[in-house]
Parts: sequence; structure tokens; C-alpha cells
Amino acid sequence: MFAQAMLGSEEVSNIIYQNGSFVLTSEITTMWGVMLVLVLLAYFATRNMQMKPKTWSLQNVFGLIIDFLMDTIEGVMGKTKGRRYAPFLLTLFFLIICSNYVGLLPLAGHIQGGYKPPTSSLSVTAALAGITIVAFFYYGITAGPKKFLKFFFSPMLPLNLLDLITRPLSLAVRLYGNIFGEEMVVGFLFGMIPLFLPLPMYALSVLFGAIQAYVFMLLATIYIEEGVSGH
Amino acid sequence: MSIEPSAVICAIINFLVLFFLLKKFLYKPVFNMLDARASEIEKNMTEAEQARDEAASLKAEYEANLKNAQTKAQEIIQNANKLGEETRSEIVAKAREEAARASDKAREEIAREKEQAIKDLRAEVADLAVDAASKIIGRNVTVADHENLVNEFIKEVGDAK
Repeated sequence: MFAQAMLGSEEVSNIIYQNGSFVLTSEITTMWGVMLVLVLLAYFATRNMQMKPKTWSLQNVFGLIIDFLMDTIEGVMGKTKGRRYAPFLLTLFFLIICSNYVGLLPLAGHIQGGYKPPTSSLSVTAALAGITIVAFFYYGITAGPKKFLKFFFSPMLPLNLLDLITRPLSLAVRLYGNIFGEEMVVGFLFGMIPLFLPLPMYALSVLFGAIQAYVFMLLATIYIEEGVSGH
Repeated sequence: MSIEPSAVICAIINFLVLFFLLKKFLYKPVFNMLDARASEIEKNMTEAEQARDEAASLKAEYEANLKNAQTKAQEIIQNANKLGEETRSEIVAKAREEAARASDKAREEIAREKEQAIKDLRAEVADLAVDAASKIIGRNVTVADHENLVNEFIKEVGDAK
């Protein structure tokens, strides 16, 4: 019953502004908030960089996260390519993990016109998957057009084309499904007993939010690596 | 679950904006810092290696010096021992010599004293003899006579011997 109520409100409550065919939804406004927070954090983290930062300084926390992710990316691509494509991949990660964690904030998704995790909307995850595939083409062609053309002129073309459709689809639906499902469960538990009961699910959400962001980034890394090395 | 085209477009624009902002504010400085730190670490490591090599060579040098010093010290001690021994025997020899000289001197002194005593005694005896003789003779004798008498007497005594 609560879930149904929530689902119902999902569909109607997230439209903030509408003008003809342009619809501004709450996940987009939330995304602006996420972006603002990310850019501000990044600005303050790198404003006054130290050679030996304090352990819990913003610079060190960002440095550690980026170091960890760079290990993953460079593990797949190698050092020089990893550096070249890291900004795109890291942006995916930071945007997705922060978007996932918006669902953990109090009242997320529960009030009309309020905020909701952008990644719990298929529109946003589809956009991210689309960008990834565009990046796959863009980076593949700029890295080596001849090598990239093998993608089309090979006996594997039908499979390649199938890949081209299933990859963004899987990326978009996986992220959407996970985060939306999580939101649903948290909302449902919250609706039953608001105190304590949703806590284990919150804890899991912290874990899943990070894992989903990491998985999205890792898959994007692998796709782009395939694009630029012409498999 | 539906896809809203304007939301997709907004999300794409959002992503691109975020991409460029983070590239400027996060990745560039962080990567620069990572590179700087990596080169710093490399520099430190080579420096540490150099320092270690230097320390090892210094240690070897010190050890050689120490060994040198030890042998030198041993040598000095031996020299000192030898010198001490020499000095000791020298002093003993000198002391012996001194003692010998002192005893010689003493002996000489004794001999001289003895001679003097004999001389004195002889003079005394002569005087006594002269006194006695003059009493017997009944008159005084001149010094010349006196001496003649004594010498004669001695001669007689010597001949008698």
C-alpha cells in the first residue's frame, strides 16, 4: 500500500515546471544541487593544495578516492591512456555516487517537488549510458580512426551492433533498477515503521551506492578501452 | 518508469558542464599534485639511496680509521712500555753508578782523612819528641835543628824497619 502510494507519487510529484514540451523534473534540479556540491567540494579541495595534506582534509580524501579509482582505470587501460580518459570516467563515478547518496538524505523522494536521487530516474541513467556510448565512439575515432573502423568492417558486425544496443541498455537499466529498487524498499520500510527499521537498508544503500557507481565507471572504462584499442 | 526527453537532454548537458568544471577544478590540480608527489618520492628515494651509500662508505672509513687507531694505540702502548723499561733500567744503572761513585768518594774521603790523621799524628809525635829531646838536651832547638832531628829520627826508624 505504501509502495503503491509512493509509486503513484513518483509519477506525479517530480514535475517542477512545465512549458510546452519542456519538462523540468525534480531529478534534474537535484542533479544541479549535486553538481553544485561536487564543484564546491572540488574547489575547496584543490584551492590550497599541500604536498603533505592532513589525513582528513578534503584534499586528501579526494586524493585517496581518485588514487583508488586511477588504480582501477590504469589497471584496465594502462597509465597514459588511463590519464587521458580519466576525467570522463571519474566524472561518471562522482556524479553517480553523489546522486545515489542523495537518496539517503532525509525526506528524499517523499515530498512533492522535493529532491530525488537522479540515478533513480531512467531518464538520467539513459542519458549517462548514452554519453558513455558517444564517448566510446568519440574517443575511439580520435584515438585511431583506422583501427576503429574495424568495428564496422568485420565479420562480427552484427554482434558488434548488438553490443552497441545492449551495452547502454544494460548500463542504464542496471543503475536505474538498483537505485530505484533501493529507494522503493527504503520508502516502503519507512512507511511501515519510520524509526530504526529502515536503518539496515540505509547501510546497504551506502554500500550499493558506491558499488553501482564503481561498476558503471568500470564498465565504461572497459568499453572505452575497447574503443580506443580497436578490438 | 518512463524516459522524459527533456530530462535526458538536461542530464546530458548537466554531465557535460560537470565534466568541464571538475576537469578544471579537480582533475587537473589533483593529477598535477599526484605527479609532483610521485617525482618528489622518486627524488627522495634516490636521495635516500645516495645517503645510504654515503653512510656505508663513511662507516667503512670509520671502521678503517678505528682499526688504524687501535693498531696505533697498541703501538703507542708498546712504545711506552719499551720506553718505560729503558728508562727504568737507565735509572737503575744511573743509581748504581751513583752509589758506586758515592762509595768511592767515601772511600777516598776515608783514605784522605786517614792520611791526614797519620800526618797530624806524625807532627804531634815529632813535637813531643822534640820537647822530650830538648828537655833531655836542656836547651831549645831551632826549627832547622828540629827538622833535621826529626828527619834523622824518621830515617833511623825507617832503616830499623
